[in-house]
Amino acid sequence: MREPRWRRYLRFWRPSAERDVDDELRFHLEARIEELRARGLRPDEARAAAADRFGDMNAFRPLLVASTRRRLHRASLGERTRIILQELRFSLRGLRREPLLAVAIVFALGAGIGANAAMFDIADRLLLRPPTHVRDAQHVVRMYAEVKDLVSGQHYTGSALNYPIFQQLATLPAFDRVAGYATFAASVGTGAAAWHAHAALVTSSFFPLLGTRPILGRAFLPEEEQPGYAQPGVVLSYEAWRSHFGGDSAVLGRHLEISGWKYPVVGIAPPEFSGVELQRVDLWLPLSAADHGFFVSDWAINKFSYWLTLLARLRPGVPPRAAEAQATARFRAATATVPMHDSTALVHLKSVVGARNYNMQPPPEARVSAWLSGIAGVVLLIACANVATLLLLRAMRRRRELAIRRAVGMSAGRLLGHLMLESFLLAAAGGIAALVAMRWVGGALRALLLPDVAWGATTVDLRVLGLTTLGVLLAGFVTALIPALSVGRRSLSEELRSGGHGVAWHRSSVHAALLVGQGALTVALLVGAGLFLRSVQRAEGLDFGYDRSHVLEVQLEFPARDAQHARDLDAIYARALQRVSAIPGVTHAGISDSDPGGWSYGMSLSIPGRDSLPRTETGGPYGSAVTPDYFAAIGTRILRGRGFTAADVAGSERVVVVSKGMADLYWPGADPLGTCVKVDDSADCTRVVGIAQDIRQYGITDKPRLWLYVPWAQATSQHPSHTLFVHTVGDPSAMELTVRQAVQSLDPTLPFVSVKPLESVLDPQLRPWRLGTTMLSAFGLLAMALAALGLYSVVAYSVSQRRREMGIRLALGAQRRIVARLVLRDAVRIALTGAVMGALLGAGFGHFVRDVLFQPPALDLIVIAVAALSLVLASVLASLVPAWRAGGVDIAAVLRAD
Amino acid sequence: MVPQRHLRRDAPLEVSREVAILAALTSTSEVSTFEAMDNASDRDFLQGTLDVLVLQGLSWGPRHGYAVARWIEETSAGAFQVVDGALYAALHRMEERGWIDAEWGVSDRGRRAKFYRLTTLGRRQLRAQRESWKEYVAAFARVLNARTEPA
Repeated sequence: MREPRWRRYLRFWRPSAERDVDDELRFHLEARIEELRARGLRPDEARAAAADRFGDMNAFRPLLVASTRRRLHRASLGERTRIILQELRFSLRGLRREPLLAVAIVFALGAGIGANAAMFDIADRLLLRPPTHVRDAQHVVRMYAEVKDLVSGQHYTGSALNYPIFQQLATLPAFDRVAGYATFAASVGTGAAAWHAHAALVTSSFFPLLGTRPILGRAFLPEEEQPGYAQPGVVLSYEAWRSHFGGDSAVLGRHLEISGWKYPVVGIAPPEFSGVELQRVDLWLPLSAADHGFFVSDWAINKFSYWLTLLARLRPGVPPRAAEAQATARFRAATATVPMHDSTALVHLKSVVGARNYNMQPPPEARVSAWLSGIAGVVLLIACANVATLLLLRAMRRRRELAIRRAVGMSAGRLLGHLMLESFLLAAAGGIAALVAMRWVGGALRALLLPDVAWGATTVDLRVLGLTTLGVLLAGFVTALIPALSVGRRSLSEELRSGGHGVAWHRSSVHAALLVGQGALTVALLVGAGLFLRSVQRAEGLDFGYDRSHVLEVQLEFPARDAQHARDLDAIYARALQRVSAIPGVTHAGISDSDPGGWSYGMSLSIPGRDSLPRTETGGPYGSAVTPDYFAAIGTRILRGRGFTAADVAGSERVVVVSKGMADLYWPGADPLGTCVKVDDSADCTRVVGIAQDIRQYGITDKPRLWLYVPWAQATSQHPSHTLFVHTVGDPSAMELTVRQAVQSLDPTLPFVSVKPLESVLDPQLRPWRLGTTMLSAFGLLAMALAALGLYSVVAYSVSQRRREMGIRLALGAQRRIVARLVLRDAVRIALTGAVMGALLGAGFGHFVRDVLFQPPALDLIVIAVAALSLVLASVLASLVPAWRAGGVDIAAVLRAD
Repeated sequence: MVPQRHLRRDAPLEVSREVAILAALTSTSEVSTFEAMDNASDRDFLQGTLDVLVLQGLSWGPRHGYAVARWIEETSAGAFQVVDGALYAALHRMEERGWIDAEWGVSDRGRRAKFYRLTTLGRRQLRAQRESWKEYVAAFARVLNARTEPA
């Protein structure tokens, strides 16, 4: 009596309310007509009477259709939910039966998706995310000037400009507004309570240009930008306000001592605001504070110093090219009166979205993380391949069950749906695992890899969540596809007849391909990790010309103010030198007016009898004034002659120590010791008394510079800066506190005493390679674990399928060892193929990442060999257990089972 | 399976008689479409009337709409000439309310037809309405049969 099944399915997939109602009414009318005809009416009469009995068809039919439509809609929703819930229960039950498998899959997918989420988080910050609290950040640009050095002919691009240029560019019609800022290290407060701050000087247009309003108080007034303004205020960052003032609004109006000057607090910036910089900024001062000597005292008119970074908001509708052309023309005009100016200089405008270095290039971290993001995608693919392998195995173990379900009428679509649902279920669990992992390790990872970056407070934001969802969908789809395809291909009867034995699944090409692919990608990742690791090693092994591991750098964060102040500083540092030298564990201490990573001060040097001296690409010569123990303190070796002594004072014979590079360049083949040179245009002879080893002032990325040293006491001009270097016996960071307290105890009014290992100054340079090494190693090991897991499960499965064969072999007298070797051979073959392909892939990969590596060799064969061998070893280990078990098959049991 | 061939044809006379009385009293030999009714309370009243008739018609087991219509005609001896469209509207309305369930099946003449069946909710509804109708009709009868003059 019921309608046939197929019709119901038809209606399930394509329910039509109209058809339903028409069918029902047609039946009714036909029955009515039949009845009436039976009573003797003519066909046409009967039809008319039936229609009459029905009433107004045009009124009723729409009523019925609407009602049916509502009901069908409700029913189909209910039906679908019911089917999905049923399948869900079914899948969960199935997975509960194999908890180990489920855990392995969730781990694999969690790791794969987590790697992506973590990398995305980092890459997003470096490459994609606009600065926080900046309105319409896509219209805000940073200005870079590209100028040619007229002597060397080289082009330099930099973001450092100055106030006169700012004034010229500020009036351009292409810009809505122009602002300038310059960041520097400052000290807040005095004595032991003093703290170190990242500060920025900004024009009064800075906050309005970015569209940022302080959450408390005000931003800067236009008059606060004028030189000589009496009482410039300070705007604190939200984070500094919270951590140093407990978020107390009474801080407004209070005076803060910043690097020796007092400023009233006028405003609090919104949370997580750091201007357009990636690094956190703790406080902002108006440009008039530059009067206090943070950069140059005559900042408003000085056209020779470059220190101010300029921002502009493009006027709506102005194409960036037109703006660049306007800015270039104005820049050339503004610098026309500067000696040695470049009349072909160009101004580039680059968006503030995405991190850039001062030289307009994206920072190496950004390039490395872009690479790593791609690699994280590869890890996810490996994880997917691995999970597909596991699910395929599961599908094979269940193939009789699935075949029976098909045979009793489960549609192919529903079977596919079932497999899909299972995959998505697992992928979703993996996604949740990934997010949990992100919450735990995300923060640690950020702090470890990019410690200076002003990260937001949240570790899992919406974008990461979105990406994770995407990862889950991708993983769910990919991992369902392969098992679904391979299960669907086999015919039912074949499956049922074979009884789960006949087909040689252990030689499955799908499996082999998945495993080889995984292995190859794993080796490629390991090669990448190895290349980065070797980069770090090479970089660390580089001789910088100073001892990085036993030196502390001590600085007092005063701004340079005037000559009198500089002499005061000389005295303070001299006392600090004395005090620190007396600390047990300190072997040497010395002062220099230059510090690694800091400024390089040019010195004029001439050699009597020579018109000009050869130049190198790093420019120079540069020089510094140092105290006698400086060389021993920082670890720069004197190669020949002598360093300085306490006898080298003002009035005694003027002496100089030159760097090895300088000696080789200026006196090729000759001995400079004892020769006379003229330093800083003095008329007197200065005698060369020693040759020191070359130094790389800016660390890894720098080349050795031409350098000369003069005794501290013989310096002819005031010292531009002061740094005290302390050589310790053991780990310098252990001495930090002792040294800081010793210096602070000299005078309670001193500003923040910055004491840091020399290592930490140059450490950020290693960061891109560290980032690469850490992440790639993690990814590579993860991939290897996954590949091993995949191989293990496949071998174990193949053994379980070949039990009968093994049993027979053993029964015929094969030794356990031989049977085990039989199994192992397959695994090793797969691993070897993967390793060879991976080696090739790795070589190609190494070629592509060359530009982010440090002095890479053309082809690092050792790294490739180690990576390939690791995979083979891991594979052998993974298949050893199942292989051995194969030899232990209980012959009697196997034979009985058939 | 719907036991169509074993449908009992004996109608519960008691109720149909009462309904017939009601119909006579309201001098409505034909329940017109609800749309035609402009008075809302009248319409509700008539809908309720039709609903209880249909529910009663389904109380012996699943039937298609035509069978319900025929049953009402026959048992009321032609007193209720329900407009077929209104009957179907009532069926659909009650199906939406969950009082009855519909399923496609094959009629005793081998044709595809939609069969309606009372749900638990519908059964409860029928019971409640039957009680209130009985009270209503009894009250009506008492009034009409009154022998005492109004004071």
